Amino acid sequence: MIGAYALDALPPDEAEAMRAHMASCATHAGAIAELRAVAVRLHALVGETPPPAALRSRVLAAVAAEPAASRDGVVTPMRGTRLATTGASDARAANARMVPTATTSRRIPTYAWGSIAAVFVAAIAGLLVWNIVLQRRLDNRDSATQLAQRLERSVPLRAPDATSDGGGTVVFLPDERRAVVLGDELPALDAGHTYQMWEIDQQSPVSLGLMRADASGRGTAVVAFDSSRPAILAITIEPAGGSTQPTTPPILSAQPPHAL
Amino acid sequence: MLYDRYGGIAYGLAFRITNDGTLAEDVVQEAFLSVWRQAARFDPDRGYVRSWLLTIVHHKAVDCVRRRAGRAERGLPDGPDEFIATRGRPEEIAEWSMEAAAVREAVQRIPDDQRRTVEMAYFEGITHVEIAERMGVPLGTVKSRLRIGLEKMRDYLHPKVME
Repeated sequence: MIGAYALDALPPDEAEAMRAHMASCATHAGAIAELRAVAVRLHALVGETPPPAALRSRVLAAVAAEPAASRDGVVTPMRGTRLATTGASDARAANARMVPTATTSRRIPTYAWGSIAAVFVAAIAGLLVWNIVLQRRLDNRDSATQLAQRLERSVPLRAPDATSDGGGTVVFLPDERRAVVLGDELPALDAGHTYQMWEIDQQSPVSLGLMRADASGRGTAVVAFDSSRPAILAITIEPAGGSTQPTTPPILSAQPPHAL
Repeated sequence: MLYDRYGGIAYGLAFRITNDGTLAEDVVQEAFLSVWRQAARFDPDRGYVRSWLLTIVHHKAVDCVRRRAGRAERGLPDGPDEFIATRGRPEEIAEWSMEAAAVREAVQRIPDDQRRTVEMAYFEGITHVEIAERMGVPLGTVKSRLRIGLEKMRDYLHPKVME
């Protein structure tokens, strides 16, 4: 049942019963918060879709028409559902701030209550528990600090000459022997061509896979890359389907920082 | 602003569930409004904003699908706004990319029947009862597939992206 609830797959009456139960059962609330944190990540299977251009102004207009919300009575839940890039001390600080102020219930705008109240309370209860679980993990392993440190290894993707378009960033993750390539302002390619990434050392280049750029020229890829070895990460334009060896000079490249 | 950052993800998810551009736009607009309305009550932590926004998008999209199918409507949770500019820090995008890759891997690692059941529940907007009917399996089987599937994904994702 908790799996179905976490995936929004319960009928309304059963979902309501589950929310009521969660408000008083920390065990289930915690378990559901964990499964929800997984469920929300399933959107990764879809990816981004550029919305129609008019939607942006529509959303902005709708937001502008709303009365501004008060910042009083701040509740700070939810850290647990995000990636833990902050240190353990930050997580503790977040926990300390998570206690609702005494005036919260009086100051919450009336439109926020009604049918959503039970859902909200149940969600907060679950997330509080999940936050505590997360904090314990952080205390034990301090993995968040390590993750934050290794995420600092970002290097700009540079064009070899000023005439090339495009740029971006490569984040090297030495512990995982991987790199995240973030292309920006990549020129649009026709259907017969693709971007291909390479690890180039003193021997022959090794393909790291293909990268597609979206309509705004952005491309993202996670590739295997051992940044402890002397090599650069380069991007070339190749015939559709890719090449076994680069057939054109790199348009962009990045070198892992020495400290790695 | 927040929309520039998460609009594509939100619309992608809404469209996947509703399979209807107009409905997807309505869902995205309502979701951003909900986030904006409740912004004051939360620490505008960006990672959290994304999760919260997409949770709302999912709720609302599922509701749309069920309403379209003539089923009962549910009340929805609504939630910060930090209308932040541009695409975000590279490190943050790197996190998301890593996370997305890990999620895809996690989904591939669970057994086929669990994966199909989980995907049907998340993307089709139908209830577990309807999933049982469509798949021709007992409701109890669907429930356990959903729970065990998500738990396996959680166990795979924890050391990678959720700790």
